[in-house]
Amino acid sequence: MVNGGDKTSVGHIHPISRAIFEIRAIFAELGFEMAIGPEMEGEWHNFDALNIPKDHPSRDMQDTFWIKPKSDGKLLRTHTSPVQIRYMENKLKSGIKPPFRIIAPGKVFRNEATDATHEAQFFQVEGLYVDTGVTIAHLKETLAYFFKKFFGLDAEIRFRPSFFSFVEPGLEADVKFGKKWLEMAGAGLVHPNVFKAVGLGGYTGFAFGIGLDRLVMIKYGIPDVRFFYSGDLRFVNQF
Amino acid sequence: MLISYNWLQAYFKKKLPSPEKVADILTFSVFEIESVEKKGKDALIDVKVLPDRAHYALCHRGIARELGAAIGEKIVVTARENPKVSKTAPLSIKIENPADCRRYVGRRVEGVKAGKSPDWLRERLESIGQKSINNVVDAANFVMFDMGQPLHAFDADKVRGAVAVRRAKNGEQMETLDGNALELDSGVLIIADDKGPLAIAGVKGGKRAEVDASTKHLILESANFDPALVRRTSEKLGVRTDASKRFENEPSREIAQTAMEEFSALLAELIPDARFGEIVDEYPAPQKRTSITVSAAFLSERIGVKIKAKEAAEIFIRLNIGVSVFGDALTLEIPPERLDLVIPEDIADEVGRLYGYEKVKGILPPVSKKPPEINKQVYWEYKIRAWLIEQGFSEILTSSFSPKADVAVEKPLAADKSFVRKDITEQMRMALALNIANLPLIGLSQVKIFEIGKVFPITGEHTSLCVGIGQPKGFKQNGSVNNQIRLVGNALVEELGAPVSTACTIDDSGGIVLLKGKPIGEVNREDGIFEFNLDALIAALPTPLEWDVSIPKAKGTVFTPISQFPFIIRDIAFFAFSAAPHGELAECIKKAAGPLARLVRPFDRFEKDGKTSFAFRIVFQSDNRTLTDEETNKIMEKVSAALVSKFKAEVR
Repeated sequence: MVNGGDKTSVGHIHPISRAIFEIRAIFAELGFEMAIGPEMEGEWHNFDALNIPKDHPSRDMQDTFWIKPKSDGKLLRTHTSPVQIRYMENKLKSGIKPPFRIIAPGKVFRNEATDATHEAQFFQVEGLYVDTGVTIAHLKETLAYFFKKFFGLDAEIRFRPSFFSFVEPGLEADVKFGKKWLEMAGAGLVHPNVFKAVGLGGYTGFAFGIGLDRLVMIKYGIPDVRFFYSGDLRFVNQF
Repeated sequence: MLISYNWLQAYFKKKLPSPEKVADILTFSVFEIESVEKKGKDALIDVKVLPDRAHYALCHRGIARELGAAIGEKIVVTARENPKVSKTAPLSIKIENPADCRRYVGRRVEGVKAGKSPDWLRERLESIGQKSINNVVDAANFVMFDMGQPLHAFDADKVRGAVAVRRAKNGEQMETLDGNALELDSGVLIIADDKGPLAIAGVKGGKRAEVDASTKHLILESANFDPALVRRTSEKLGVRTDASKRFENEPSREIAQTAMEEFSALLAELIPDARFGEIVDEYPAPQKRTSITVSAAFLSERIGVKIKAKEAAEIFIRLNIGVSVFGDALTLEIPPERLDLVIPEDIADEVGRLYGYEKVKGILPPVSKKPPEINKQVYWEYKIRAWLIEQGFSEILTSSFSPKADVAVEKPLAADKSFVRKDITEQMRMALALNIANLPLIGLSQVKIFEIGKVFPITGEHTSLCVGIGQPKGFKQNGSVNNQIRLVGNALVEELGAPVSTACTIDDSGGIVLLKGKPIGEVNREDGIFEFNLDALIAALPTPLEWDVSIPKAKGTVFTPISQFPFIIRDIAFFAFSAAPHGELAECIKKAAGPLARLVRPFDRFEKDGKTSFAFRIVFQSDNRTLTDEETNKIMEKVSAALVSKFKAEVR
């Protein structure tokens, strides 16, 4: 009896997990280590420590899932930036000083309507480098190095001025694909208030955040973000 | 913010480049542009003004200043003649708390007639999607969209006594301009007179003192309120207006006076017979002038390119920031409307964006000699993934939300997403069912899947590993899924060398997984599924010393569309000469069946009387319609014919 081939077929890793696997390796070449943290966070770690104060319009930039009751101040994290705060807190508690180099991948949550390019849950990967004398030039080359290796092309990077509460200057990074420029990451130099929040003085740093789902959608030509969370092997087994 | 290209042009002596080019210039110097749309003889530019600049750039003048800085042009502000001051009734303004209201500029205007606005004013407002109401309201709105200060006008005859800026009393009520009855409390700041509320400060005016066709006298308001208070009030009452949006971003207190002058001058032009009283300026909490000193070295160090003090100074001049240079040090007189320039890093942002980040040459930061520390959790999660994949399991991800669990969310997106999941098992069960139905298309005879993800039971968030096996009814090859999944679980813990044991029922209907005697998971709570607390399991595993995990290469890197239409299965069995190679038979079938055949898979073969019997399964599906039996039958006839013709097959 000839079997349909099940016995010899290996399974497929989810394309998001594969992307994180590859990202870990690329950044390990630059000396970055992985850091992870809880998906359910406290208001301080998700907002206040990142220079996003209460009652400020900057909170509108990220629609939040608050856990009931809202007065408890618990939420589903809106970005993986809280992991950077926790990492720095832990290191400083153990008496370890910068340089810090971390990559923080993970699931994040936004309370907004879903469609082909928006899901209530998705993955981000953020990076943080803290040292003395960190500049935008370092940020530019680090991102260029990553995108070149991840997409396997001679990645051209450009910056546009932007704003995020936890960096200053704040930037958007675009990567060139053929003739088109696509927005790939938010980035900037770490805002002094963030260092103040963790009690770290006398250092500089850069940080960036990449939407992982979007990154994988571009790499594989996937048209709808909701495929990632469908549990459908017709999707997963393609990769 | 939607701005009109023509309105923007009015700020420049020289002709501006095209709207698209203007959008480009703004994109690389300050603002992302959402869209540029031609609108008759004008163009609408949708400027994305983020919270850092919303206090000065939610208006044409603010954006014009930025454009001017980028192209090296000073803007021109249309000067209107300030009206003479006439004798009017006195105006009394009482501010209860300077923390709530930092400034209130008021003015009486007598002898007005609210009427239609002239064409130019209506066009300006309509160009950015605003409705023309009457000349008084239009003038207030024009000035707000022009220079960023929200303004208001009251019908003076309907105001009794002094204008008070105070907290509402619990239970006070007000009907808004658009007819909503609002219930107020002491958390709400209001403008009031002797009779009660006249307006929600910074948010919305009330109907009682509304300016309409019968209005003869006005009280004008140009004020500055606590931004957090306006924002909380706006959220609580569910009222968001162009005014509240600007107030919650905290415009400078200094522009309230300028705005009153421009409002007055415009009204004087629209209503030449109006008589303007004294400007009454209650300014209990004045804004302080500030200055910042930075060095060119600091700017160079942050941006990563050598910037000379002189180059930086030129940029500040273009931004209308007063600067004095002493060697490498630059002392800046911060213009009052730039409340975002507080620390030296804010100055680095101004310089970097106008200097041009394209001039920054990238350089890798120093790399540490030590290899980075390995994250134990991440390591073991990938080790487990790699092992499961080797055993034929594929990884899925499902929703973190659930219709019923332990921890609820506020404002869920849907009723079946009101909680965060307390386990993965239920979603695993649904995923198994979904994939079993699609097995013919997937080309497998069993579903073997797993998920690693966070769950949120009442005991607290932890990482869970959930593995499931599903198979169609009648698939007997490997025994029950309950037995299979238990064996997989055992094999996994053995592979990891974890001190895990499973206590199972005799009939495989359930089992508890124990780590050193403590329960960390369950087997077969739902048939064919096990779920462990992965954090607990990994804690018992050794710390890795090197990253020795590998995963198979990706099978494909280009997405193939998945059809939403039902598939049809057809089996074909035939005798052929045993020498007929498998692959060639499949090729022949594929070719004859055409592109609607999504899968061609051999599933049986046996010898009989010197002939070989083959059986193939063909799965048909269209991307854009439901296939009919008739269509499929026709294709199968073609397939049979091809097999007969090429391999002298005897189709059964």
